[in-house]
Amino acid sequence: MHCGLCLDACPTFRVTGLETESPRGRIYLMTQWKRGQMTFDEKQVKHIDLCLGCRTCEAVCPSGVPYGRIIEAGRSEVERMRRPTAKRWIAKTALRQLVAHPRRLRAFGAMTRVAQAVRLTSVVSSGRQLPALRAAFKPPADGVAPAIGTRPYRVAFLVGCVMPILYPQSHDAAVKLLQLAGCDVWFPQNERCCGALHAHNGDLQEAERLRDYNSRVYASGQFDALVVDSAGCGSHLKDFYPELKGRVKDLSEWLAEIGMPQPKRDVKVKVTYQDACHLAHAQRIKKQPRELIRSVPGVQLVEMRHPDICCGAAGLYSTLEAQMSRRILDEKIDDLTSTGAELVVTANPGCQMQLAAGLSARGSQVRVEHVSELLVRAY
Amino acid sequence: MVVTNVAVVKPRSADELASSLREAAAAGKSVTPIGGGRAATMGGLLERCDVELRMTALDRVIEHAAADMVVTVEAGIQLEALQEHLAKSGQFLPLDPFNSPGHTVGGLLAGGWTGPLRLRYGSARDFTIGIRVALPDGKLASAGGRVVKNVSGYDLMKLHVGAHGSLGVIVAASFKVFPRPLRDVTVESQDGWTAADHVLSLPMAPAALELFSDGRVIARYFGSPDAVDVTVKATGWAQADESVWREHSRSAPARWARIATPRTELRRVIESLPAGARWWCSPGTGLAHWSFGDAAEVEKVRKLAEAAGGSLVLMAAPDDVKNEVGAWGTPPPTLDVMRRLKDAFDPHHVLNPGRFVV
Amino acid sequence: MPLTPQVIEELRRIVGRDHVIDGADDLRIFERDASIEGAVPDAVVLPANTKQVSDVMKVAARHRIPVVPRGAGTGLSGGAVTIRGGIALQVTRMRRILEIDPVAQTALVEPGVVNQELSLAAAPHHLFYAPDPSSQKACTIGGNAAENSGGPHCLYYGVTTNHVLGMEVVLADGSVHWVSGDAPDRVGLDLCGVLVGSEGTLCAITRIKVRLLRTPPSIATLLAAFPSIETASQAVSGVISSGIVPAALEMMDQVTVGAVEAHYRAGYPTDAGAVLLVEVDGIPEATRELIVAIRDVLAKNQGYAMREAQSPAERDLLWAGRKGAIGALGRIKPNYYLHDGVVPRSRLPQVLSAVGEIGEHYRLPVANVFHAGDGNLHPNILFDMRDREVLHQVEDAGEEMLRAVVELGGALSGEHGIGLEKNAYMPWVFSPDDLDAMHRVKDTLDPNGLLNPGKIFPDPSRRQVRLAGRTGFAVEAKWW
Repeated sequence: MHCGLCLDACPTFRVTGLETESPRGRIYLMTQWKRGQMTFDEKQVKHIDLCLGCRTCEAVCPSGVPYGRIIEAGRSEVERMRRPTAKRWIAKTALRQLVAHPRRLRAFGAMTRVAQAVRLTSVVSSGRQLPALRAAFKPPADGVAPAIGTRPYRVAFLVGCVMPILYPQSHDAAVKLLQLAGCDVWFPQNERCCGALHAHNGDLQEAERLRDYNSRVYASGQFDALVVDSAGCGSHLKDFYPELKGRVKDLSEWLAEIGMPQPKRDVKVKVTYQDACHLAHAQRIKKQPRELIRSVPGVQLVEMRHPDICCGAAGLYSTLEAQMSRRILDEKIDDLTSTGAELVVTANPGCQMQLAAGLSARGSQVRVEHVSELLVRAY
Repeated sequence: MVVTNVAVVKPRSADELASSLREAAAAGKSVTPIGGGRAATMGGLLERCDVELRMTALDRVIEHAAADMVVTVEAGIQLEALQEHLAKSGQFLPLDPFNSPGHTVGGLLAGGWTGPLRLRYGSARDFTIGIRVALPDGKLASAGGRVVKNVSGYDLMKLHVGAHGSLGVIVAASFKVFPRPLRDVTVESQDGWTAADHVLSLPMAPAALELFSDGRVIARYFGSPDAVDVTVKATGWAQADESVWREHSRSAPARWARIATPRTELRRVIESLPAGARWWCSPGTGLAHWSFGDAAEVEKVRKLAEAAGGSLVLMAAPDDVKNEVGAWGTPPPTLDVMRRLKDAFDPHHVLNPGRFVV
Repeated sequence: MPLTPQVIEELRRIVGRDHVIDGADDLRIFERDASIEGAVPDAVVLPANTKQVSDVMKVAARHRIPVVPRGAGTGLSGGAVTIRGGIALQVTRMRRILEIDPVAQTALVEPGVVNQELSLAAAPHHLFYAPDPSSQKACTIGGNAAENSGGPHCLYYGVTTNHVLGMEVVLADGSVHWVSGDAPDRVGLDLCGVLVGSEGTLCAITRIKVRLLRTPPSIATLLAAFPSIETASQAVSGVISSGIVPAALEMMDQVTVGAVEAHYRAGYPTDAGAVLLVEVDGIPEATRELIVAIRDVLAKNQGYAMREAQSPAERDLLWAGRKGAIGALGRIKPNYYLHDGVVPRSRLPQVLSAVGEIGEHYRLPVANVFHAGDGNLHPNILFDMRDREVLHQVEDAGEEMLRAVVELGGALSGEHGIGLEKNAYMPWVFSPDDLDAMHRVKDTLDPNGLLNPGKIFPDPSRRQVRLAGRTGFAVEAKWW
C-alpha cells in the first residue's frame, strides 16, 4: 500500500518536499533494510532521525498502517546499529540518568531556576530554552487531593517527570479541575517517568524498565482512571502499559466523559487550539478539548488552517534536529499568528515550550497555556 | 482572394472526404472546408482556394445514446437538426451561436463559436468528448471517445476546436449532451450594468445573461422549479418570452467583431467603444460583440482589449478592413509553437491558407 | 545510465547543492508513485522556480537526459515513474499560492501546491477549487493538470481541464511559455487544452491559473443502500436519465464499505450489497427539490436505508470515507491493482457483472469504488505482492476487465491517465493513424523524446514485460 495520502500530513515532507522525508519514503527505507536490500548508513539513518514521530500520517492513513510502531521499532534498530554521536549519547544518558529519576530532575530544575534568577543561563544552557521556572508542583502530603462536593470518582494523577518542574501551574489547574468535577485525586508515591521520551528515542530497554517499575506502583492503589495532562505520556501509557488498558485518560478526555460543572465566570479571550500530536494522532482525541474550550463562556475559539500539524517540538527533536524543528515551527507560527488569537492552548509540555519559543522569537504577544489553565479560570 | 476555378467537392462519407483531401493536397491544391457558411466571414482573407469541400452531405446522427446523454454526429449536420433530434429525448446541446440558424456542427467547432449559454455550460471545448478529423495526407484520426470522462491519449479535441480547419477537417464529433432543465424562465430589465451585476451576485447564477448597448438585459434561469422561481423573484425583473433568445441568436451585423477580455475588464473596454455604438455582451464570461464602424475604431478598441489581456477578432468585415487591421490582431507569443504544430499536420499549408493565425 | 559527475554538478549549480539527490540509496526511495511499477531515477532535482526548471531542462536537452516531472507521487498510472531513468523533476518545493483574486474568482498557483490547500486558502472568500481527486489531501495541482485529474464532484463541475484558465510551461528545449490566460477565446490554437492531460510528455508545468467557484450555499448529501451492485447501477442510470445531474454520484460495493468503516466509522451500512453517495448543491430550494426527486428514483430502484447527512461534520465524514476508500483496502490485502476505465453509463450493470465474473474466475477479491455518475469504474484487484505467483493472475484479470470496458464502448482511463500502466492497450481503442496524429504533437514539442519517455504511447520494446518482472516494493516486511 503506497497511496501517498500521508505525504502532505507529514511536517517534514511539507517543508522539504522530499519523498525521503515522508512517511512513505521512511517505510520504504526501513523495509529495504529489513530485506537487506539497502545498506545501512548514517546518511539513510538521517531520514529516520528527521521523523518527528508525530504520527499525523498514521491518523490519516486509511489503510491503518501502524506507523508509530514501525518507526519506534526502526529507531530501536537504528540505535542498536549506529555509532552514537556525542549529542545522542548525552541525550540518552540524560534521559536515563536524569529524567528517569524524579529527585535528580527536581534538583536539576532547582539549579536551573537559580541560574535563571541570577541570569547565569549561559552556564546552565537549559535555562535559555526552558520557560521561567517557578517552584515545582508538589502533591499534597497525604498523597490525595479531595474532591470538591460530591465524590463519585477516584483517579490517579500522573505527576510525571518534567511537567511538575516546567509547568507546575498546568498541573495545579488540572488537579483543581478534577476536584471540581468530583474526583478524589491520588498521587501515586515514588512513581517515576513513564518512559515515553525513552521509547520515542529508541531506548526501548529503559522504557521497559520504567514500565515494570511504575506498574508495581500503580498496582498498589485503586482508581477509576489514571489521568494524564501531558499528551506524550498519555499516548505512551495507553500503548505501552497493557495492565492499564482502558483506564489511562487524557485530562480533556476524562473531563468530557464525566462532565464539568457549570462554569462560573466569563473568560473573554480569543483563543486557538494546537492539537498535541500525541493527543490528536496517537490518541485520536481532537473533539473533547475543543468542546471543553467552547464550553467556557466568553471564549472565542478560532481554528488555525492546520491545527493538527506538528509544531516541531516532538520531545527531544527540537534539540537533536534543531534546524528542521525551526523550519516546521516557522510554518506553525505563521499559521498561528494569522488567526489573530491572543492565546494558544495545547495539551503537552513540549508543545507549550516550542510554541512559546517560536512566538517570542517573533516578538509576538500571543500567550501559550495548557488547556487546563484556560478552563480553570472559568471557576 | 484569387478565385480561379474553384472545384467543389461534396463528399458523402468520411473516407470519401479523406481521399479528396489527400488528392487535392498531393496535387498542391488548397482546400477550404465549408459547412453552413455561417461562420465563413470570420478570419483572414483566403490566400488561395482551389477546392471547396462542402460538408453538408455528411449530416447523419451517427449515434445518440440517450440514456448515456452522449451523441455522435457527422460534422455537416445542421445545429437545428441535431437539436430537434435531441429534443425528442428531452435533451439538448448547449450551443446557441449568433448568426443562426444554419450553422453546421463542424463549422461551429472549427470556428469556436459560442452563444449566451456559454455562461452556464462553457464552450464546445468543455463538452466535446470525441473528434474525428481528416488530415491532408488522407489519414482519418480520432481522439477522445464516446464517454463523458476520458484521459486516454492527448486531448486533440481542444487542438481542433477553434482552429478554423487549419490542422485538419473535422468529419465527426461526439458530445456530452444535457437534459432540458425542469424549469426555464427568461427575465429582462432595462437597467444595464447595475442590473447585470445584481443578478450575477445572487446565489444562483443564470444560465445566460446578455446585456445590450441600449441598456436592456436578458437573463435565463435553468433549474429545479422552486429554485428558479425564488431566484426569478429575487431578480425583481419582468418575465420575458423565451423567443427573445431565438431573436438574439440571429444577431449578425454586416460588420462585427468579438471582444474577449477577462471578465473583470469587460466593462472598462466596452465603455471605451464609440458613443452610440451597437454592441451586446455577456458580463459573466467576458465576451462582447460589437458592430463596428471603421478600421480606425477597431484598432483603438483592439489595443485596449489586448492591453487588458484579451483580444478583438473580426467576425465579419469588408476586405479592406481585414487587410488594414487584420482579422486576429497581435499574434500570440506562442505563435512559433503553433506554427510548428501546423507544419506537423499540414506541412504544405493546403488547409485554409490565410484564414487563421497559423 | 547514471549521470556524470559533471552533469550532477551542473544541476547543483542551478538548484543548489541540497536540491539534487544522487545517492543510490536515496534515489531508490523515488522509484515509485502510487501505481504498481517502479524504476529508479538517476537523479532527483527539486527546482524552486521557473528559471530553475528551464535551466534544468536545458541541461537535460544538451545531454539528452530524460526528464520526468513529479508532484507528490500519488498518481495511479505510473506517470511519475522514471522508466527510462533520467531526472525526476520534483516540483514539491514550488508550493506557493501566488494569488487568489476573489473578484475575478481565479487563483495563480505553483505546481507543487496541494489540491486541498488551495480550497482551504480560498474558503475565506467563499470560493473553492472544484476538481477534487480522492487524493486531494496530498496530490498537487501540477500533477492534476498534467493528468487532467477528475474526482467525485467532476460529474457536475467538470474535470481539471475545465478549470485551468492558463499555464506557464517549460518545453523540452527549456523555453518558457504562457498558454491561455484569464480571457476566454484566445487567438490561436488552444495549446493549454492539449498540454493539460499530456502526462508530463509535452512540458513541465510551472504555474497554473485556475478558476475558483463560489461555495454553494446549500449542500445535501444522501447515502442509500442497495441489495446489489446491479440494483445500484440501475439506480444510477435512473437518476441520470431522469434529467438530474447531481454534483456527485458515487458507488461503493460491500467489500469496500467494510474496509472504509473499519477506519472512518462514517456510518456506511456494511450489510448492503452496494451503497450510493449522492450529493446535490445549490440554493436551498434546489437541493431540497432535487433530493426529494433523487430519493424517489433510488427507492424505485430498490434503494433503502436512505440517510441524509445532518451536519457538515457528518457530510465530511462520509466523504472522508469515500475518498480514503482505495487506501482503506490495504486492510484487506497489502496491494491493489486498479484500472479506471469508463463505460457509457447505461452499460454499468453489464460491465460490473463482467468485472465480478473475472474476479471470480481468477479467484481474486475485487473491490469496486467509483464515480458511478460518470461511468468511471475503479475495480481494485486486491492481492499480496509477496505471493509472486499471483501477479500473473492479477495482470491477466486487470487486462480482461479493461477489455470488457473497451468492448462495451468505453475508454481506457477516465482520470488516472495512461502512463505506463495502460500504454500497451492504447491500440485497443486507437488506430495507428489516431496514434500517429497524437505523435505529431509529441514530436513537434519534444523532438528528442526526452519528456517522460515511455508513457502514453505503446512501447514495442516492452510489450512482453509482466508485472512480476517489474520492480517490487515495500510489502515484504510483515508489518501490516
